[in-house]
Amino acid sequence: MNHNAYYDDKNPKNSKKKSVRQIEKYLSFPYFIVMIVLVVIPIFLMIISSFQFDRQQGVFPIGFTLTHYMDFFRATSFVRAMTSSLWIAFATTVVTLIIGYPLAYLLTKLKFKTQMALLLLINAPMWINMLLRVRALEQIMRMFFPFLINTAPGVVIGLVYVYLPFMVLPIYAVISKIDPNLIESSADLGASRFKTMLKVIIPLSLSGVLSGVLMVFLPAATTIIVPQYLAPSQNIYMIGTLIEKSIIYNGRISYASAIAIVLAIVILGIVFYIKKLDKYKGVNRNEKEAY
Amino acid sequence: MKKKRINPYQIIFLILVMLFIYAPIISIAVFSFNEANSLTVWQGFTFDRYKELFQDRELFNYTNPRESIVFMTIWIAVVSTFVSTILGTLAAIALTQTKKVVRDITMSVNNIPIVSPEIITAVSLLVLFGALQIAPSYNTMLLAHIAFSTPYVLITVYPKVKSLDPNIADAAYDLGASPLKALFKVILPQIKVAIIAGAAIAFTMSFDDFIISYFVAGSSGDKNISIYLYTNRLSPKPIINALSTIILLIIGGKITYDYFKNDKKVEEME
Repeated sequence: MNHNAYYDDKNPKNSKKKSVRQIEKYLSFPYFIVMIVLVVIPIFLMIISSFQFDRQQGVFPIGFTLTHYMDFFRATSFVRAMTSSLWIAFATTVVTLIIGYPLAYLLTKLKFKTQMALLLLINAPMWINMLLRVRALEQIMRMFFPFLINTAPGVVIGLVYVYLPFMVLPIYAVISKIDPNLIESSADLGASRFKTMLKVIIPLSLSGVLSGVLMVFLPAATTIIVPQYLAPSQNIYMIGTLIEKSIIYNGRISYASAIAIVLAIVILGIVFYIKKLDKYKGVNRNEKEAY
Repeated sequence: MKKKRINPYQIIFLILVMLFIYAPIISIAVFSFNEANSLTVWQGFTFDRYKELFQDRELFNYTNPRESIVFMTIWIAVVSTFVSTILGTLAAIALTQTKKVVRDITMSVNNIPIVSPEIITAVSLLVLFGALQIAPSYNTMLLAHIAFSTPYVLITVYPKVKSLDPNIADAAYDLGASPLKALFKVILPQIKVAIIAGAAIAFTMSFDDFIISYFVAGSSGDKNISIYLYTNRLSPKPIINALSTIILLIIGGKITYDYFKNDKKVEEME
């Protein structure tokens, strides 16, 4: 507390106060213990485990093998699952963007009360268990569009259904904060509505689009629920399913750890690349660091 | 803002999106009253599915709640919310008093479970429990839920604590308050709303979680509602529609309540 600095060394009460405030620091100890034991250590163990031979009990004895990493590139199942996951996640992101951007933009044009009500209706499903929603969609698909079951477009529709709010919400948040003066001045300077859209609104909403893209792409690429419900014949094979199979059905935990680590590295690369694109971050008024 | 113009195409677009979002949900509710055991053919109106639901021994075991999927799901959500809210809130208060380095490191570690895909968190926790030779059960599920809920509580409560006026706490100490008293009488009341919001997120996360629960406890036969839904996906029982409808009603009720409460607030501000 800088404004108190002058008093600190003179007033004994203040030094006592400081020591009292020091105690507050220790309040975080239980939190640190939980986070170290349940977040940090598991990640290290997962890395160690990925180099272990299969079906070992406990962490010790420690072995070392690269077979799990080699297995991916030899096994076509891994490469196939990885490429189809990334491809399906990409398609999902594009479709949610095509629906979500105009939707978010449209919302900002409505009366404030209507905006709030519609926003609530769009976001409400996020509070509903994802399995319930996917099963509901499966039911509808089987009734009206049975040809979509077991196809990649069917899986993409399922993912769009689940993750659409994650795209609409950040884009809406950014567009609604664009200073209306900017749009007016663009019109005053003679820009057409289309040009204003292209040169003002879209660049200013880019940070919202990019966080939306991340929030849709990452879970879509790693889903296990959607393909299991909408493509039960397993001809659409995704990375999540591969991990599920190796752990739940085959008990190959080390192999699954290795897949998870490769997946994490691929994802980190994508996140890093997308964040670099984000050059307009913090341009709009009141924009807070969200992700 | 300037005059809002909205054309018929935009209205059609809005209606189509809403239909896409709500048609499946409405169909679930409608078919929960179906007389036929089928999910696709309508036969007639009945409440039988609801009666069957509450008599289902796997979901509602009134004599032995430990065997009951619904009771255990709620129990785990309550306990993990309670624990993670306390841990997260205390840490949020403490973080405002620590050095910037500690705060930055804590925040980045805190973000790991929030940002990384659930399946990676699930595998890492499974490896941990395997290494410590803790058998999968409701206990591992509970620990996992505490692990992924606590970060959400921290990021919800921390901004609120940061925005507090430090002079108020200082004044309390000047007036002779003990740290405990200052915490309970001065700091906590000011951040109450954020704590409740954090707890609500933690509860929903726990109640809805599938992937992590499935990995850390699924093989033991201990199930939460999500695992139950998933393991029955190939032979969907009609009672699941009834269960879904009840969950939908509870969530819908809560959301509508929140909406009208906020609506009142907005009107008061205007």
